[in-house]
Amino acid sequence: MFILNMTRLRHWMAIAMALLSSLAMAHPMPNSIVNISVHSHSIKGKAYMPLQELQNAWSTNSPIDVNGKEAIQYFKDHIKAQSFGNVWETTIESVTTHTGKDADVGTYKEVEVSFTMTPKIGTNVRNFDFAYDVIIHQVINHSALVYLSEDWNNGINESVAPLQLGLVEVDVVTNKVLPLKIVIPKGSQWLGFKSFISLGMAHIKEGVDHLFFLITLLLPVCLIPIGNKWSKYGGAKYSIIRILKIVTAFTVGHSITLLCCTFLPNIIPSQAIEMVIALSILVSALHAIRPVFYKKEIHIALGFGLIHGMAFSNTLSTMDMSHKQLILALLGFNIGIELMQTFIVLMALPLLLFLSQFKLYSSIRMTAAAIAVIASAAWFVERLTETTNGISSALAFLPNLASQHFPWLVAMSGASLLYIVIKRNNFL
Amino acid sequence: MKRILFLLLPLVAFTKNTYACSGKSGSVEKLVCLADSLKATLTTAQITTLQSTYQYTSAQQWSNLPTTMVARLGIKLGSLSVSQLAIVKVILKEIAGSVSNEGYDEVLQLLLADDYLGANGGGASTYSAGNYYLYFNGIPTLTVLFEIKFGGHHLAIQQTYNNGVMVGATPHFEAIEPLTFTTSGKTYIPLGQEKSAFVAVMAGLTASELASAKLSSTFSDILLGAKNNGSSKDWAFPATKVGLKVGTLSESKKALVIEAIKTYVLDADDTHSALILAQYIKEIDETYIAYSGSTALETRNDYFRIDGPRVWIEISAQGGIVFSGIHYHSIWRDHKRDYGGTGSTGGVLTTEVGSDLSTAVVDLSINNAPFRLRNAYPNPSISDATFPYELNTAGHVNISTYDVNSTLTEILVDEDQVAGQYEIPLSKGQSQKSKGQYYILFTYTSNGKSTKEVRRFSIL
Repeated sequence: MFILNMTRLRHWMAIAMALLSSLAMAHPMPNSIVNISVHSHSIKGKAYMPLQELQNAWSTNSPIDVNGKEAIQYFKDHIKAQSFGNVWETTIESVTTHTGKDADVGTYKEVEVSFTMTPKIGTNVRNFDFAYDVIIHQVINHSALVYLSEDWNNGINESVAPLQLGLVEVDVVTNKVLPLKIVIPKGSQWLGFKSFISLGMAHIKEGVDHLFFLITLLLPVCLIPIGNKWSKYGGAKYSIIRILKIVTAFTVGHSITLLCCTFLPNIIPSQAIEMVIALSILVSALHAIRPVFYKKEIHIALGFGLIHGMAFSNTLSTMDMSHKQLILALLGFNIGIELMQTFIVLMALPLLLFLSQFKLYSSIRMTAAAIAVIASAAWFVERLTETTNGISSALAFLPNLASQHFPWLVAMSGASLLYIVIKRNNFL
Repeated sequence: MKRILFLLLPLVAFTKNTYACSGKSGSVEKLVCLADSLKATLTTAQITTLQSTYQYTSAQQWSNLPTTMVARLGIKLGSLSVSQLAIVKVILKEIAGSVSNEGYDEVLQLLLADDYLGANGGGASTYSAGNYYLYFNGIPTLTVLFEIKFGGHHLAIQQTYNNGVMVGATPHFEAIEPLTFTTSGKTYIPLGQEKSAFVAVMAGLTASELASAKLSSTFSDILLGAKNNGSSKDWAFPATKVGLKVGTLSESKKALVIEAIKTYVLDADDTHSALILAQYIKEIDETYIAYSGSTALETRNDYFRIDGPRVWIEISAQGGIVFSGIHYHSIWRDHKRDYGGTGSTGGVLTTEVGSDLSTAVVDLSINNAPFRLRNAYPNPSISDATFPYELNTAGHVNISTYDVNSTLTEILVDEDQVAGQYEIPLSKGQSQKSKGQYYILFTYTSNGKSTKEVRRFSIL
């Protein structure tokens, strides 16, 4: 598996932790997990169960053929939904077997059953009795945790921890398996849309590498080069126009590829993309030290914007959504990205204008550029070797640090702005 | 070396007599004193970890999972000094039974088993004797409700005390992987006699009795085990008992069921286990036995259950985690006295364990019995085991040995005997027994009335 950018890694870790805590209860791998997703006319699901337990529940001792006719019929008989007295139509889409290894459990085989349950047309799919008793009808100590893993209208998708709906198990006192009553709130289109705006914002907030690229590119933006050196402050108009151009170019770039690559995923391996992103920071940093591509910043921002957009697209391309939902998701996600990016640029702008006034700024700029070079190298190595290193894991804590000291950052930016407004003649 | 030291320490500590506690063995007074002795050696932070006020949710916090997956409450043995460990051992000895291979002896064997599991593929950070925890749920005093909790990966002891008396000895979970292991030249089979006792019960049944005892469901684990997927099995006993009613069985078969019950009840301290056992024996006719899979408890999904008005014992043979082959999970619960009644509809109990016996049961009192059997020793043995017993009243004694298939292997004694102490060699020499499990049927006849009791032994 290719290394993911830190944002995705963190999202995935959050889900993994959520899953782990539930799986932990399941040692030694005896239990099942069922993830269901809400679609407009049906409920889709994936049931994960240990092969050994399925075999325990099987009527004969001969090894079960999980894709055989009998097994498919078995899954159909034991995965059912009903509402208002009507039994829904269950279709078994696929059955696969994976081998997993767990430090505490050892090697185990897991069966994954993908199914669709469809009621009569016009039935509310959010309210039903889930009569799931795969394995449990026979192995009475077995249980299945049921999660809601995808539901647009409630803003639940792959990037957030699934919502636990309930547990299917034998009621020991009565020795019966009761169907799980599932009632999923109606939610709204807006909730789903909003969740993608938040996802986009979180993506930038936590996507340290994207921010490093952009901020580093903006470091010398207020300066005018003389020869092969950055020299003096170029004035507010000069600076603001340049910032607008660079940020717009970066936005156009990543929006194009975000759109394309979500519909055409995996054209370029994500490892390669992530490595180029690490390099893009180096390029920005070199430019911050010496004017390498003065007046051509737009091209650089656009070009690397295209690459960064490809990384963004990986977030959405793996989600199971209808085309309509995907377009809305893209829109929301992009709005989120731009909102957060604009916010950060607006925060940085007064500081850049203010600091660029002073002689001291050249050492600040050089120090920042040097840090960016180190960060770029650390990320490059991390993505090449697919293992984290000390620097890259330290960088992952930056968003936390920034959040903790957020009031200070706002105060500094505000103070700079105030100073600029008062002494505006100096800045023109 | 450290392990040997660990086992020997209580003796050393006793001789030093640095924390002598008065009070009768098995009394809450002594237990409280020992708990205070331990606390006297700990820092304030350690005491905070060791104890807290009684919470039912804390009582329910035990597991069959490694401590790395489900954290246990209390102070970690691995964090204690040698002298602190010594006091912990004395506390464990105080709350556990003294019978060989049960109680305290079994606790030590189960800790060794985790050391073995850790050193042989499981990893010492996950499995080791140091990964066991002692917790006082409620601060031990003579006037409040408290629970002594000791547990780790494959052991969970919960004993509850209230107002100076013991009110519950369960839930008591024990498990083992691998079933047999050799460490420092000694072979251990911690749940060996539990297994043999269950197998003996089933081996003694006729085909039709077995058919009634058989359950159609499959058990890949015990039913009333630790919290599973966050769902607690506390106070969830089946409303209807299933299987074979022990009351329909012959006296000798009933005696085998009682033997099986003993392998769990005798894990609690001697004073209270005798009272609990008397209660269970009194209710033996209303007790049910059931099994699933095969009767040998040697194949994955083999399962056995004893379910009485009060007693609940389950054992499950399931796939190994670190080793191939099977491993056991087992539990002893009590329909009325789990957690001393806390969490049940009746609420926390104030009556001492055994106080719910009617006067009729006092006749079962061991001292008034015409005979008293002891355990065969050494057990297991190579060939030269001895079976000691005493007669308080003269009578006719028949001592016969049977193998697990209930086939008579030898009649050791069949004569009138006077009161006194006896020791009988189990293999008289002329018929060397092959290795395996055996049981001894002791029949005492006086005034035309026969009483039978069963003991077990094994030949390696």
